[in-house]
Amino acid sequence: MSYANMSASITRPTADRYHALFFVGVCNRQRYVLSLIRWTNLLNQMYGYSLANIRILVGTYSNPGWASMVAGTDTTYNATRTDLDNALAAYAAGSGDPHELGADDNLFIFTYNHGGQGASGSYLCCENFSTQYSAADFATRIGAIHCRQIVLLAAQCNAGGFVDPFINALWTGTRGAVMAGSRSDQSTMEAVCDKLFASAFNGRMAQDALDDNIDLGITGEGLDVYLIPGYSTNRIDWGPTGVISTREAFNYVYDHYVNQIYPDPAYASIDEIPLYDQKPWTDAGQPLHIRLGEPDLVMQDCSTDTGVEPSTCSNPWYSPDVYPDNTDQFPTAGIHEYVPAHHNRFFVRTANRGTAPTDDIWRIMEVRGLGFSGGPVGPPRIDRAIETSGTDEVSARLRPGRAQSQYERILIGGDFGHGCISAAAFCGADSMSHALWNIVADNDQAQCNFNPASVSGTFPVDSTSTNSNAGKLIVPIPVFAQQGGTFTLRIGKPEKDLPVKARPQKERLDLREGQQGEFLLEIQIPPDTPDGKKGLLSVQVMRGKTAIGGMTFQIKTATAFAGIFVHDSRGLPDSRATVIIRRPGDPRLLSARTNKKGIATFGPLNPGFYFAEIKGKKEEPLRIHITSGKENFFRIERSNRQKDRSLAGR
Amino acid sequence: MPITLEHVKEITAKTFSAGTYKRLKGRERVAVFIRHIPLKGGTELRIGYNTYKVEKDAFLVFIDLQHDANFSHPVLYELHNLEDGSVRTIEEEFPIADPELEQSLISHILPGKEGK
Repeated sequence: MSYANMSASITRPTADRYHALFFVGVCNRQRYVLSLIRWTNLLNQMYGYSLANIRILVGTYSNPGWASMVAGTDTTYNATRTDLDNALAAYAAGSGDPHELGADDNLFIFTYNHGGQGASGSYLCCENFSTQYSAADFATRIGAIHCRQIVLLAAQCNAGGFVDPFINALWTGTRGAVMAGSRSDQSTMEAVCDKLFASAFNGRMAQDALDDNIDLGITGEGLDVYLIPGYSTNRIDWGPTGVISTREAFNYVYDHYVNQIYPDPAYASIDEIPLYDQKPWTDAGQPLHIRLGEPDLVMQDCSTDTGVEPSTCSNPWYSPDVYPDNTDQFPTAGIHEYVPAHHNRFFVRTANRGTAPTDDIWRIMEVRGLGFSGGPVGPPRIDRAIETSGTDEVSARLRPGRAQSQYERILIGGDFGHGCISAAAFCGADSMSHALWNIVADNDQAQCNFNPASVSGTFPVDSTSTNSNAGKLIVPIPVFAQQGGTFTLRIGKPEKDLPVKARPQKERLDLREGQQGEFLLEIQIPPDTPDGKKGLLSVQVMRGKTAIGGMTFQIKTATAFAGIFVHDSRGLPDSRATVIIRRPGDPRLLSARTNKKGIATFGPLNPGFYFAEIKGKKEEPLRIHITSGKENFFRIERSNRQKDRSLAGR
Repeated sequence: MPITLEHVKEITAKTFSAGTYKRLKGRERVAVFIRHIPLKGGTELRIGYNTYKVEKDAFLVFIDLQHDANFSHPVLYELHNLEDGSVRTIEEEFPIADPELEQSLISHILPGKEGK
């Protein structure tokens, strides 16, 4: 499993929809500075918040030597009560301020350091204890913000006094959650609301919350938390969603208090009780999960796929995020080259274009061999080449803007002309919107098809030879007409250095609704083309001017020869038989007579699957796989059934 | 009898050992800080949202009853009169507002991390 930045062509449309406001009114402890930096890194690196959307209001440093805020954030130093009030007012509907939030926007507010409680309720301390910002004033500003969601984490003393005013003030169209570090009559220990909540939202619990210099293990990529020294966890995401919600984070922190903090003498002064509330609790009868962001997993349908649904790729069945890569066992095999009848290794990759890390990712991979009568257009016929495989559950946190890749082995059958593999990456918070195989409509899915097309450029000396098909490969492209119309093929340009030409034997198909038809595509190669050339050729099936499907051929030049030994039941050679071989979908029949040793020789041939039979006999054809670089020798036993039947009839 | 800084250190250490500072029913994480230079009589001492006048020259002692907690939380301030050693105790919930004055407090006794 490895991680890298996601493709530059993938966009992150929600990245600008998440905003954060941090407030430290009296900055007389270095730990407040460290905390602000820690939360900035958490939201930026793990949740993908834009630094420009993280607004920090921090009061005058008691010590000017303390670190500056992270570069790129929207920071106000020496912040006052008025700055906080103005910042909240700027988010309000109709403010006209560049910070005004709309119906799709989300706001996370983190208030930290010192708070108090007076006759009129709880308040935040400001301007070195010369002013206060009351929960009532705060609530008034909250009520004027009309956005999708507001989450408040209040870590100052007496924070509990903000819970009800906040919840009650939320605009009807805004959902919200509040986590307070203590009841309204309690002080908070620094470790409580800062590091424990940050750890919980990071999916990794800091072992020593009293350590001011602790980092959150953000640089641990997606490693399982058990592999990161200094961190431990139980599962923080308890729900089926795959993403940590505010309630799940709170529950974990609360349990941590009960089980770790309260019994530990080092935390003897801690007795505060964190509080939680959210509104609403349910949505359409289901529990509502409020999160700091949402992941959006993407598997690209083509290298220019932005992740928008539906994708607009011209050849969406040839994804850069799922393809065979057997170079570990077959070094000469190129990527995208599969090995028939073998457990092929597949490269699969997922990117996260959302605004939250996933907790876990599940994948389903399914291989369908579409045989010879199904095709890339219309309902597939699933034959014996089918294999379905689900990859292991991945315990990893895939961050926004990053891509994770892994390998999965799947048995690919040997006997199909057109095969597909489909993969999906999703978690509970980003479930598949369509059934598997809807690759264009659903950006969680990707597909790779297999159309191996080996063609020989070694022509026979005698052009009248009947035992060779070199120089031309004929492949069928079945079409099922879900709607009637005229169907044509749009043939792409062969890849550079691939010396082939392709044309359909018949230019157009006129099919009624529900009718099936078939194109025969001829792939031609000039004489004396050496073996070993490789390249792709894509073909789209058009109905009118609309592409309704297609396939990509993995063409390589290769030459094979085959010998077929015909013998009787005693093993004696038959020197007078005529052997016929044919490729599925290719109307050409190749024939050769056996020699004195009973062997019929064929070649040069296009490698691939063939059916072989003895002319005039009625046995089931023998399925053979003819490959280049190998001695292809097969045996057919001539049956005497016909003779026996005639004898029996006398 | 005039007192010195050493006297203040000795007295606060004894008070700490005797558990006299404890008034939070087992929730204390007590730390003691002392300003080594006495405050002048007449100085106005701003603590949180309140202002206190220092009547006579005195050593300032800050007893944090919940060390590392965010303010507001219970704290004590002691003014040890330089001339006669008498002590004025102020119960508060906030730190000294003047950053320079607060940073001039030198730690004398810090709580350990028992059990860690």
